[in-house]
Amino acid sequence: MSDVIRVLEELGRNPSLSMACSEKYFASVSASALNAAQRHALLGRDMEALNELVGGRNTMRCLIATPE
Amino acid sequence: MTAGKGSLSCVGLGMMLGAHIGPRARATIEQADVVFGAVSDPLVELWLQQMHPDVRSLQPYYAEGKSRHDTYRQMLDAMLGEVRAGRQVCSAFYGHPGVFARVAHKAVAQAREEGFEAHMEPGVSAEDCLYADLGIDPGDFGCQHYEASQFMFYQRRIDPSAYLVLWQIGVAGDRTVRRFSTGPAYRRLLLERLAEDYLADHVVTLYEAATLPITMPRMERLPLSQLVDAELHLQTTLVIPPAIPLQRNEAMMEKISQLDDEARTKSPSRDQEEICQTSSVSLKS
Repeated sequence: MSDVIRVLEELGRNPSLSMACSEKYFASVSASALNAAQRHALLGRDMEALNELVGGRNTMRCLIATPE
Repeated sequence: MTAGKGSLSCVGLGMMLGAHIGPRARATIEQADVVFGAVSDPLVELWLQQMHPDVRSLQPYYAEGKSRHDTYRQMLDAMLGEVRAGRQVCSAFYGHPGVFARVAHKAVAQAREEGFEAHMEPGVSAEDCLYADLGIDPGDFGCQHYEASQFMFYQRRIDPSAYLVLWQIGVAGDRTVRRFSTGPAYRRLLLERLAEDYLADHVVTLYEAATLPITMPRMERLPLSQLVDAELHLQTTLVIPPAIPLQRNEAMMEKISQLDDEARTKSPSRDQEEICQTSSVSLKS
């Protein structure tokens, strides 16, 4: 698993780490084995930058119900 | 038709990466021969890809101008093709696989019709997140849910003393099933309908569940009249709170009181006898 996704998964599992303005969040991201650009994007909660860094799709569609 | 060893499981990942997935869904993904992914966030898709070596995104089936009927038919064919080939197939959907995801219901039904084992594993849906984030208990006043376009296409009786939740507000009024957004003119028509039951200054909420643990849900409050020019996405939901107090049904209350009075006049031993009989019937049925 990529380090960025691993960090996101851990943040998802543990809400105390990802709460806004949480010192734990800053500490856990700072202590992670991510490169500087990835850490910067995570600390800035910049999802577009993070997605670009890890090679995610640019466009995503959600399922759209088709009413009869 | 003879059942092969192929099978289909449609599982829910929940809305937020890492936060909502259940152990059964995770195990189903990890143990499948092939996994199809229908998610709405690119990082969630990468997360899913790292749970299994053969994850196939369903995103390429979408295209601007392409009928979603064709898109969903092709998704169905892709999944069922692997089941017919004798493989253990898992289709992982964001949220709940059976909520606003007819393709999952169709896939399970089709697989069963062809004699294959198929089941659906529920997940945490956007509706679940909405209740938690907005502090709404549907048991308090009741809650009506409609897909926005269907709400416009058909005659509906709104109860303004309950919540009204309109899903897919960003494509409200789309009859082409080829677009990923409609515009202000369509929203004006929706407002025209809503104006029959709500005042223009009634405060509503635009809601979007958070899909990543480092983002916040969108919970934007605005007067209903500003909906026309609001920024709406595919995943935006309109939440309209009650506009009037609950209206007491006096006639029904009177009938219930009569039943209560009748029950009180019966002897306790008779009541006990009826309870025993009811229990017996319940156990048999």
